[in-house]
Amino acid sequence: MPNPVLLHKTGPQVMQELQACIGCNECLLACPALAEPITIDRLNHETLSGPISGPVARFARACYQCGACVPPCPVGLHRDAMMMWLKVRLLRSGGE
Amino acid sequence: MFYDEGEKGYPFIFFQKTPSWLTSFFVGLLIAGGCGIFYVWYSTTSPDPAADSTVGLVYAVLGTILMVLAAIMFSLRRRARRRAVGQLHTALDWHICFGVAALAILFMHSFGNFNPRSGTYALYAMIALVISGVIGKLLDMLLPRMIAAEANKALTAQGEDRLQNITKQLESIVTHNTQPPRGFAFNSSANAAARTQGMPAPKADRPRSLVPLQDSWDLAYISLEETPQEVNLDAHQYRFVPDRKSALTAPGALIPGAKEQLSAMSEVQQALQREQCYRYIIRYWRIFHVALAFLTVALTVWHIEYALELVIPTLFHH
Amino acid sequence: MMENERAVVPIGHQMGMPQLDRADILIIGNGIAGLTAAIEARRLAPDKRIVIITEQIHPTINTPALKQFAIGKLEREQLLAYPAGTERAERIHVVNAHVAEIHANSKYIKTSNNYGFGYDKLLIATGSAPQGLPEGTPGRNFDGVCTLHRLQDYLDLRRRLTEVSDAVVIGGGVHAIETVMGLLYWGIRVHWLIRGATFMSRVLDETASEIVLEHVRNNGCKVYTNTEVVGVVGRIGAVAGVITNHKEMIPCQLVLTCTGTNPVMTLADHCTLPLKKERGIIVDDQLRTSVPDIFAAGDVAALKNPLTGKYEPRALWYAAVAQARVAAASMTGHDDLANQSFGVQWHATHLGELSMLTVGSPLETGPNIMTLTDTSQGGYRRMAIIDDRLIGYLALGSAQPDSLAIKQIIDEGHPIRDITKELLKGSFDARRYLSQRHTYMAQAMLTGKLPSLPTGKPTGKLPAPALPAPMTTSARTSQVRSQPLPAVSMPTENRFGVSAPMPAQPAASMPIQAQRDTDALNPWRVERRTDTLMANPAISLSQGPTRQTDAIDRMQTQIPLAPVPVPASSLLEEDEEISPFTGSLPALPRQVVESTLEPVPVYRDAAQSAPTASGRNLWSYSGKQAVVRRERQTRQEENSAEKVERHPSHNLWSYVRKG
Repeated sequence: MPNPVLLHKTGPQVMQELQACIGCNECLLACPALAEPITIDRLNHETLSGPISGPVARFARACYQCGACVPPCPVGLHRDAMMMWLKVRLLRSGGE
Repeated sequence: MFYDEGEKGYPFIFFQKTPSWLTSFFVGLLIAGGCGIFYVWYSTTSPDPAADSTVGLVYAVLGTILMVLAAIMFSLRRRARRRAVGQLHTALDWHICFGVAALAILFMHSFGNFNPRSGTYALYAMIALVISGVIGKLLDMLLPRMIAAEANKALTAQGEDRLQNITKQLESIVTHNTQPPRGFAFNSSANAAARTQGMPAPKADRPRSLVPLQDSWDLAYISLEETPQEVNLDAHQYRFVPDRKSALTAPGALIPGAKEQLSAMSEVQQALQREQCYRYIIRYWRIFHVALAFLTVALTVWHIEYALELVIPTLFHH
Repeated sequence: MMENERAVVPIGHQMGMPQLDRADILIIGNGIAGLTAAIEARRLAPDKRIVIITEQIHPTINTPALKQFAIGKLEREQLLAYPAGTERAERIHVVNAHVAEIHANSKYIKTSNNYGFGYDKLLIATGSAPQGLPEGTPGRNFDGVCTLHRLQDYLDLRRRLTEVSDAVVIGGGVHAIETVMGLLYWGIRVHWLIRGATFMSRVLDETASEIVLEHVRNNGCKVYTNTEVVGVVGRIGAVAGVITNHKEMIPCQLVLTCTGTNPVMTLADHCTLPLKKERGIIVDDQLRTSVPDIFAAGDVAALKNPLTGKYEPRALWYAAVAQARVAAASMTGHDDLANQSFGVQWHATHLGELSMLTVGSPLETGPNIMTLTDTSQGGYRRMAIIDDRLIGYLALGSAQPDSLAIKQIIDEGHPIRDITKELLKGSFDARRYLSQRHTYMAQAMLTGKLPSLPTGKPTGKLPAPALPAPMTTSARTSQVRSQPLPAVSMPTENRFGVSAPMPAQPAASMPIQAQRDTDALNPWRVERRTDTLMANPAISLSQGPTRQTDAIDRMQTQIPLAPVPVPASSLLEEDEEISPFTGSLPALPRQVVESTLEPVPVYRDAAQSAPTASGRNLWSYSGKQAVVRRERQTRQEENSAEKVERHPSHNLWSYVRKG
C-alpha cells in the first residue's frame, strides 16, 4: 500500500474529495489523535471553508499526520490530506 | 470579538488538556508517587534495601506489569474492530502513563544497585525508550506544524498548486518573450525591399504645400542588387546570440521575470522536499521507538532470566 | 403541518382554493442531490428564495453510511450529511408535503392537499425507490420480507436483528454484498442468492467476482449463484423460508431484497408539459429536462452515457453530488460553471473487507485495447489501456488506491508509461507524481532542454518516485532521465513539439539543470542558445488553435492524443545531436488514429477553456473539448511494430496481456 510522502493536496482536490466523502466515519474511528467526539459532517464542512470551531481546531492541531485514517476509507479518500488543508487554513487564520 | 485561543492560529507548542490526559496523569502520579513514598520509607527503615528483597521484587513485578500493559494495550486497541471515536487517543494517554510509571518503579526496584549488567542494560533501554517516546510526542507536535508551514508555501492563497501557477506564469513569460518581433521577416529580401519602399510613407502625412517635390526612393531606379545591409541581415542574427562565456547564455537570461519565477519554483520545491523530510522523520522515529521497545523487552527478559536464577533457589530454600 | 408550513412559508389559507406561494428555486426532494443543489444555489445566488419540498421526514443523511449504522458503528446523529441547522443557516426553507402535479406552463406545483407553490426554476430530485421482489412473487407481503433503502428500513432492521438467526439476501450488486456483510457481522447465518453467474457482472470480470465471492464465503456466508427466488413461504403472517428455482427450501426469518432501484418518476407523468423520461428523467449535460426551467438531478436523472449514447441514471453518491452542483449552477444562470464535465464514471467502496475501485471502463475489450491484469498481494487489478492512455481501472484488494487521482489520470489522458507498473501493482503514489509534473514542465520549457528519450536500452525499472534534492548526484539524474518518455509519438513528427513538457517525466529540479550543461545520457543535447527558446516555443505554440487557454493545455492537447506508443526505434535515429535552429525542420507529418475510441481530450476547468465545438467526443459529457486528429504515417506503424521487438526486456509488456 503506497504510503505517500507528500502530505498535502491542493484546494480543488480537497474539495473534490470532500464531496465524495460518504460520511461513514471510518477515518475518525481509526484516528489516535482525536480526543473529543466530532461528527464527520462538521469536520467536512469546516475543512472546506468558513470559520473553524474550537473542537475542530483542536483536532487539527492534535493530528500528527500518522496516516491511519487513509486505509479504512472505503472510497479511497485521503483524510490526512484534508487535515493538512485544514491545518494550512488554521495557520493562515492565525496570521489575522 | 472575543478571541478564543482555541479557534485561530496554529502555534508550535501547545498543550491540550483532555479528560483522558488528566486521568492518566493523575493515576500515573498516584502509582509512582505511592511507590515512591513507600520507597523512601522502606529505604530509611529497612536494614538492607535490595533489589531482590521482597519489596524490590514487588517493585520489579509491578514495573514489569506496567511495562507490558504499556506495550500491549495500545496496539491491541488499535487493531480492535469495535471502537468508539476517541478511544484510541485515550489508549495512547494510558500507554504514556503506564510507560513512565513503569520506568519510575523499575528505577526504585534497583535500590541503587547497578552492578548486575542485565538489569542495568534493561534499565538503560527503558530510559532510552521513554525518552524516545517523549521526543516522539514532541516531534508529533512540532513536525506537523512545520509540515503545515511548508504545505502553506506550496499552495497559493486560493489553495491552488503553486508550482502549477508558476509554470503558467513562466510559460506566459516565455510566450511573450519569444514572439517574433513585429515587422521583421528574416527570410525574404523582397520584404526588405518592400519595407524600404514603405519608409517614405510617414512623410506623406506632412502638409503637401511644404513638401518639395521628391525623387522616388525605389531602389530599382538604381539597381536590383541587394544592399549591403540586406546581405548581412542574417549575419545580424548571429550578433544577437551571445557567446558561451556571456551571462546571456544562462537559461532565461533574455527572458525577464523568469528569474523570479525560477527562484519561486525552487523555493516551492524546497518546501516540498522539506515536507517529505519531516514526514520521513515522523515515520522513522516511530519505527525507532518500536525497535527500542523490542530491545527493551529482550533485555528485560534477559534480566528476568538472570533474576530467576537468583531468586528461585532462595525460594526453594524456604 | 399547517402550522409548521405557516411558520416557514407564510401562506394565507382558504379552504378549497390552491394557495400560491412562490420560490425562486424550488427543489422537490431532500436527498443529497436536493440539499446539495440548494446549498450550492444559495452560494451562487445569495438573494434568491430557495425552498425544498420533501416527503422525507428527517433531514438529509449520508445514505452510504447507513450500512455502518446497520452494524451499529454509527448512531443516528452521526448520519447527518450537513451539520444540524444548516438549512436554517443558509435560509433554505424546508416544507413537508407530497407534490402531486407540476403545472409547467403557469410554473407552479400542486401538493396533494391542494397547496400551490410557484417557482421560477424547479429541480426534481425525487430519488429512487427499491425494486423489491417482482409483483407476482407469492408471499412477498409476509412480515419479514424487506428492502433496505431508507433510514426507517434500517431502524426496522436493527430491531429485527435480535430475533433472526437465518436470513436470505437476494441480489447481485453492491447493496447486496453490503447487506450480507452487515448481517454476518451480527452473527446471522446468511444465504445469498444471486441470479447471475457472477457478482456485479457489469462492473467486475469473472476473476474479480470470484475473489469477492470467495472472500464472502470465507466469512461464513452461503452463496448460491444462478439462483432465483420463486416464492416466499410464511407461517401465520411471518416469513418462514424461501423456495428457489432449484426447488430448494431455505428456512429463514428475514428476506432482504437488494435487486436494484428505480427512479421515482411519477411527477413526470403528472406534468402538464411532456417531461421526457425513459429509464429516468432525461436531462442534458446541464441537467435541463425537456421542459424549460425544470431540472432534474440525482438518482432520478438520466444522463447520456458517453460510451453508449444512451440515457441512463447513475444511482451513485458522488454522481448525485456532482450533478446537484451543476444543476445549481444551471439554475442560477452560472453557465460557465454548469459546463463542467463529469469525467468518467467511477465507484469505490468496500466489498466486505476488500476494497473495490472501478474507474472508466476496465472491462472494455477491442482491437486497440490492451488489458493488463495482476493478481499479486491477494488482490486483483485490471487496466484497460489504449495507446499509453488509461481508459479503465479496476482494483480489488485490501487497500483502496487513490481513486480520485486515477480518475484524474483517465479524465486528463495522462500518458501512463512511467507509472503503469505502479498502477498495476497498486503502489501508485499519486500526490508525488502529479506534483512532479509541473516542475518538469516549467523547467523543460524554460531551458528549452528537451527531455531525454528512450535510448533503446530501458533500465527495466520505472523511475524512482523520489523527488531529487537539489544536490542530487549526476548518476541519479541521468538515470532518472533515461526513462522512457511517455506521450508519445511526438518525437518523430515534431521534435520541437517535444519542447513541450512531457508530463510524466520525473523531475530533476531546476538547479540541477542549470548546473549541468552536459549530460551524457541526454540524446537531445540542446545547446543553450536563445534561439532555442525563440524557435521552439514559437513553432509549437503557433500550432495550437488560438484560444485563451494557456499553452500548456495546447501542448497537452497535442501530445497525448492518439500517440504511437513511443516508438523507440524511430527515436533511435535521433540520437544524434539536433540543433533545431540550424538544422532544417522537417515537415510535420500528419497522423491518423485508427482506434475505435476517440482520444481523451484534456480535462480542464470550464473556467479555463473557451468552449470549442468538437467532433464526436465520446469522453466528455459537455462535448466541448477539442479532439485533435492526426494522420499516422505508415512508417510509424512499422516503427511501433518494431518497437515491441526492440524492447524485449521491457517489463511493461511482460505482464499478462489479454484482448
